[in-house]
Amino acid sequence: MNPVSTKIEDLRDVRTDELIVNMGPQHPATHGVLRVVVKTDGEVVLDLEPHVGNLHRCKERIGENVRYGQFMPYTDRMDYLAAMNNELCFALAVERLLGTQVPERTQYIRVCMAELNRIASHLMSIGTYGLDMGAITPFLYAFRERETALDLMEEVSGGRMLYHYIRIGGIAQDITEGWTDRCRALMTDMDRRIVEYNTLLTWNKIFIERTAGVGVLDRQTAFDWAITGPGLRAAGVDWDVRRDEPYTIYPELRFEVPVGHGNAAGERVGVLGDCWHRHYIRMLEMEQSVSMVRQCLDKIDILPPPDNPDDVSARMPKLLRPPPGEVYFRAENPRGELAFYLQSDGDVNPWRLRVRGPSFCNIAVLGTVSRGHLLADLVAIIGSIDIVLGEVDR
Amino acid sequence: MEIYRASDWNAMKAASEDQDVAILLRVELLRKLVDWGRINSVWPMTFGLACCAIEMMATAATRFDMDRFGAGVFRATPRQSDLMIVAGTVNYKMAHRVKRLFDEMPDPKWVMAMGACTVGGGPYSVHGYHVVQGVDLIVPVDVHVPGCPPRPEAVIEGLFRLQEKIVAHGTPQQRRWMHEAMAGAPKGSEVVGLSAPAPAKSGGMEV
Amino acid sequence: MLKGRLGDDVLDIVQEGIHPFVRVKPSAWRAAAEFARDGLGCESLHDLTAVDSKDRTVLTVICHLWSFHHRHWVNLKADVDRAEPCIDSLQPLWNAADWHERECWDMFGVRFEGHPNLRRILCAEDWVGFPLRKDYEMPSEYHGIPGIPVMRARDTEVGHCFPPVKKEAPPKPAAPAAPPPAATGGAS
Repeated sequence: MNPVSTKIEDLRDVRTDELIVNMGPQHPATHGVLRVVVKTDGEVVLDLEPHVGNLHRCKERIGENVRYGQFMPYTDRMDYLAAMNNELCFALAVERLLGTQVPERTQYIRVCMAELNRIASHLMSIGTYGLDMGAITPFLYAFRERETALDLMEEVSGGRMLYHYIRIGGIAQDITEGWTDRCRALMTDMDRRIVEYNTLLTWNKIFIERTAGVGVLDRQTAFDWAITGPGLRAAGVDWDVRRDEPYTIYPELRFEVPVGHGNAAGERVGVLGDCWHRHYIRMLEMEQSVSMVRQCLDKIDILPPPDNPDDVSARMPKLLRPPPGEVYFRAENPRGELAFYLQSDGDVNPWRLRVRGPSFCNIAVLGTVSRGHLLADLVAIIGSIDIVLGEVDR
Repeated sequence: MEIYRASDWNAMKAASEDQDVAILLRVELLRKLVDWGRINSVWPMTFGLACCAIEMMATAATRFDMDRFGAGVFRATPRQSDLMIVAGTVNYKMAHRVKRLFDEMPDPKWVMAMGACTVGGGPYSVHGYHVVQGVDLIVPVDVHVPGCPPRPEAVIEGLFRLQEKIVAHGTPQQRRWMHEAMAGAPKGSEVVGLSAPAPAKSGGMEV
Repeated sequence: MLKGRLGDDVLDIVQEGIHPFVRVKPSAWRAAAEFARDGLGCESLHDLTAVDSKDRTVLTVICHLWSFHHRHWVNLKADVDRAEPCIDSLQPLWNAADWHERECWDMFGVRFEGHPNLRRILCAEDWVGFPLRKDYEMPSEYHGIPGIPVMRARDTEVGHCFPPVKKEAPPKPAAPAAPPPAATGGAS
């Protein structure tokens, strides 16, 4: 028997074949039922193709068959981590079609909920991102804060994760007594915790090794593939719908938009547009959201509540029949820009309800971004793009 | 586990009544031991599909902590798991994969249908053309947990009901042995424990 | 500006309202989009979808193009024949169109010329029918798994208080036969 030579000179002409690996829909690190078919050469990814549609729940068809108000719970279930943001976008789209004016205090409440949910969503993102990398502690810590945020939203809406609280014309019911104080307590807590998460994860040497320079998504690719949200800002594009094409009371709030510039906190970490920058942008966005929630809470306390509890929302007819027309409205969700294209023909059901999910557009770029990386980096890239399959597949 | 075989039990002719009781006790104790081990170490498979997956994660996280009931070791592979918690909507594209994963799980295995979508289609039961109207159309379900999404407390209650069911009904293999054995048993012979489901205890096991 | 460039191919320009758009002929779809990208500075294709029409004669393909530099939208619409819907693909211009067009094909059946990989993306690969067309009928079963019409018909059979399926429910089953005599000891 000829022993196999282990001298490197003899191994130089060994052929390493390409292998097609299926990162199946059931996978601990694909953030849901994403299937990625990867063509690898050893550990290196040559090409890949994401297969989506494993969570296709026919939302657009449902939208054509139910009334406008009845569609609201379905918006929750699209990006289920940021349900309030989805509801807000849909409510604003329909209100733009109708031309309704929502009372100012209610608008502040809605934006407060949306930003609170942004914090909860980002907590979930960084928690599961750490979990994908193998860091279990940040996941459990993030869930601790997320539970408190969920408690607050459960108090006003009744649901822990899917609320149906923001309605067309306003909100379901007013906030409870003392809610603003409890929310302020959480925000004070979040100041400390964000520092903690940064120490645990963002500035962690192992985390930086795994994410810096990985999955670089540069500016031109971002434009070409219509990337929005933290991915776009991490590529260096200074664009945020809340500031640049504002809606509701966002013009009244003072906040900064974190944009990647390759020189984070005085240190040069990684490359502009890599996974680390996307993660860091999320951390900075959480800080900004905390400040926005505080501003909203101050305004909610100053503005007087309506005398009649029913007046917390604008007066809407029982059966909404928007005049024939169409609207395309977009909002800044934690994952990107969610847009609704509504076409009404005067009936109680929409004629066409198109949902442009940010994760759908963001995940399409996976192949371009991860060519040449290792399989383990692929997990890092998927986690940093931060998708929610409910939005991808609708 | 020959002690469980009813045919063996029938073959063990007791010399006297005392010996009858002695064998009875040993079988019952061992059965209790095995059941205790089984119900307190139900390892779920991470099969989160949609929104219910997040609540499943929350159930496993610190506040609700499914791990204190033994069910915290989430295995990613079906080969090492006992329980498949179908958390989230199953649609036709995903259906054959659910079935395949269920087939890949070794016995004894159980399925918990978590959430309204898996129980009967949920919010997509009227217009969702691509949604399977309940995962029991694909795999046999042991516990249904309704809710959209069910609260973590509800998931834990589902786990308790599953534990009661495991104690009461045994595993599919045990039931198969029972049927085989009872096919050849003489009339009037009783076998302890496995023939009829035990009356359901309220509140679940002592925890 | 668009009209000046394309001339007669531009059918309609709606400027007022909350959703201004430009309707072009399907043959000028690629040219219009190219002009929007190069001449009007639209770097990104924000959305591309289709809408069925009331009289079931046309499908309107609509795309929303956004320009970061100039901060304006260019919304293009084109009506394609419903029987043979076919239009140029915008994938060579913006890669973002890739998956949007696949979804359009999946949901409406609009064929995009020049698309490298026009396959179903959301529905299963062997799905029959185009779900977002108004005359779509839900399948009663898929690979052996019963579908909504069958399941909801079962609900009305049992007496479940559910909005009944539009078509008539199947007739009630005949009265059950006398129960079989009780088996002895579970022997089968």
